[in-house]
Amino acid sequence: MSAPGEAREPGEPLLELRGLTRHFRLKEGLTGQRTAIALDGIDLKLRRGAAYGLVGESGSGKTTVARLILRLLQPTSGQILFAGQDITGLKGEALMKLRERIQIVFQDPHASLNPRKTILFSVAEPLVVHRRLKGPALRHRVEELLEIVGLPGGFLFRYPHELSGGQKQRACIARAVALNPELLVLDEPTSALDVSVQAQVLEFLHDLKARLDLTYLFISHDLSVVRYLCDRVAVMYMGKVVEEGTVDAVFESPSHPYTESLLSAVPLPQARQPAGRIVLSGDVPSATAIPPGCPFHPRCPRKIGPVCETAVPRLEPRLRDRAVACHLYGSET
Amino acid sequence: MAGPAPLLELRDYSLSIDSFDGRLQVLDGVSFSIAPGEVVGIVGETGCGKSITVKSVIGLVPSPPAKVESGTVSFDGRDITAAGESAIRRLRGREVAMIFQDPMTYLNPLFTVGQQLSDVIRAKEALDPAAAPRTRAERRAKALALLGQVHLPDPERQFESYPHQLSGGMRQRVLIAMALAGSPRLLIADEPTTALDVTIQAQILDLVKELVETLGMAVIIISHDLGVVAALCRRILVMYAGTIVEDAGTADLFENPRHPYTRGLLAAIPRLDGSVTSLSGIPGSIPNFIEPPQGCRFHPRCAQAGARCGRERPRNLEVAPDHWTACHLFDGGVE
Ligand SMILES: Nc1ncnc2c1ncn2[C@@H]1O[C@H](COP(=O)(O)OP(=O)(O)O)[C@@H](O)[C@H]1O
Ligand SMILES: Nc1ncnc2c1ncn2[C@@H]1O[C@H](COP(=O)(O)OP(=O)(O)O)[C@@H](O)[C@H]1O
Ligand code: SF4
Ligand SMILES: [Mg+2]
Ligand SMILES: [Mg+2]
Repeated sequence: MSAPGEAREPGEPLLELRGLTRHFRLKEGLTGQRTAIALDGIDLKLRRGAAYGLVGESGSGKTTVARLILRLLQPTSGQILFAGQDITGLKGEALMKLRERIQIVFQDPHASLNPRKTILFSVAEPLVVHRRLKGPALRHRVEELLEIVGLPGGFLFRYPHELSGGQKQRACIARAVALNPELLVLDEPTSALDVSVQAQVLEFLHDLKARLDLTYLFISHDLSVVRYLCDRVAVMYMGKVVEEGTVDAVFESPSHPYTESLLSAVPLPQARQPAGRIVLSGDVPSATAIPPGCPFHPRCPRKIGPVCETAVPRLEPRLRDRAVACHLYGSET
Repeated sequence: MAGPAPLLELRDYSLSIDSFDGRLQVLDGVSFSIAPGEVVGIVGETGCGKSITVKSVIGLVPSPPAKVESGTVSFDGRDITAAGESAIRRLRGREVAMIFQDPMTYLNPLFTVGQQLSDVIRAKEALDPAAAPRTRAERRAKALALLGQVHLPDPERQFESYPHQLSGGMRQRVLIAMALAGSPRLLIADEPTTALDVTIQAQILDLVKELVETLGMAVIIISHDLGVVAALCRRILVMYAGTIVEDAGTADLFENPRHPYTRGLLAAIPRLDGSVTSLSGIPGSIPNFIEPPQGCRFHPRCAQAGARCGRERPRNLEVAPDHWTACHLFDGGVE
């Protein structure tokens, strides 16, 4: 399969997803069964040093991507390559080693910090488990990490409930970068925070990436946040990537009708709203009943005809800076 | 303030709530008014007192533990500050309706949409002795008309559905239909789209806009999202720690924000068009309400605060036509 963006992105990608698919079996009643297609054959490449955004509405499969990359979940089919190595089937010691190189930060910092343990304990834990650090060396490294995330020494012996939401998220980030990972997956890391606090965390994440040489996979339903922090973006709809490209290209001139409507639906914090807003009708379909053909066709304002209802559009390169999965562009690639 | 006689008016309204840790001075001298048919937004960080303000006005905060420390609330010229339970209930049932972030909390999972909507319609009839009671068929017709008015797809079928069979957006439509059952003059929407995806949020915002135009009711939209209030409201109130710090027309607020808190919020928002390349947050967090800061409640977080700010409570001043703010910077300086 030709991965989009290949020709334009020299060098080996840090992370590559090939045809990644995940189904969930759902029990229905006593004997019945349905299949939820959470992820349906996505291909992505993250260059080292990228801040890669993954956007889409709830249920589009973003968290499933994160869990698959972290190997918290097995794919139904497809491959995950990390630094050129197929990590899809890694087990045991090799998987432990991989976990040092890929870390995750979740939306809810409460759930990620043990309420009965100090911040020192939570941040130290990965260092103890993976590096067998202890004593003054351990304490020193934790202090250094808290310094990096902007939580001074006074926080060492505090408990999560004594920290604000933003401070807790910083502690989670300190824990995630403790082992010097190469890839940081951030799943809606600022969605639970007020904008005033989110701004601080975003600024900090921006600096942290350069300082620690990180690559980000930044998952968010908030398009403005992705515009601010990321350089490339993939837009997901119902388990598929419908558009992929540089953030500037995708946000300034979206090609896919879904991207276009999604961007147009965001109400803007400014004196006047732009004219000609697209309001999509209907709801997002269920993952157990994905429409045939283009999954977006029942809601698409630019549907071109029966081809949209029957043929699945493939993600194909378009223009110089993006790839799109839509029959509108079928003949002009 | 000029304009028609207000529908809802709060004057110097202060509210405390007794809690386990002590008495919370939750609202401090809140004043604003809403004209008939006006659409007003209330914004501010989580915990600023947005919900408490509107809930206490319509009697949804039990007293005790809540206590009105000062000020008045009037609705359509009547002072309702000390109105009894039943008077408030009547007001809430007929003239004011409220919808919330999470419709599931206000829908009974065991009854169909149709049953619940019909119940609401019957309850509204009971509050209006002048109206002749409807038959069951009439109530059903009324319920279907309401579901149509909120553009619930396939209302005949959804009438028989249970809440869990509906999507989040559809449930919010049902809640709006219930709110409309009593033909309210004021609709209060507390974070009505916060739990919804952006494309569904756009649908609900469109619906609210349409209802305002066709029914002419006044609306208060509470949101932490400045985009949501910008899209719907003509006027915006900015709330900080139980005080209204700025009150201005929407265009004026975005183009000419005055209060340092408002400016701080605006500087914190990443922009969809990429026009902002560096964000600044607001240091610190909302104060505790047991011993809130003296003077201006925002002063511990304010980059422009001076000695006077910790001492003296700023007055609410009209800094431009219909643009009010409470900050010493606009009233003789901070020193
Ligand atoms: N453990 C699971 N069991 C069943 N269905 C699941 C599970 N995890 C995710 N799904 C389904 O997969 C789809 C994608 O979910 P998710 O990846 O969480 O989306 P997002 O993070 O974009 O909101 C949804 O329809 C969701 O209900
Ligand atoms: N029932 C209650 N009892 C005690 N304190 C409350 C109650 N409801 C709200 N508060 C407090 O009042 C303050 C304002 O809350 P709220 O109005 O819900 O804020 P917002 O809606 O702006 O997020 C908060 O500090 C909250 O803890
Ligand atoms: S393939 Fe057809 S239905 Fe799908 S987005 Fe493109 S035009 Fe719309
Ligand atoms: Mg998710
Ligand atoms: Mg609230």
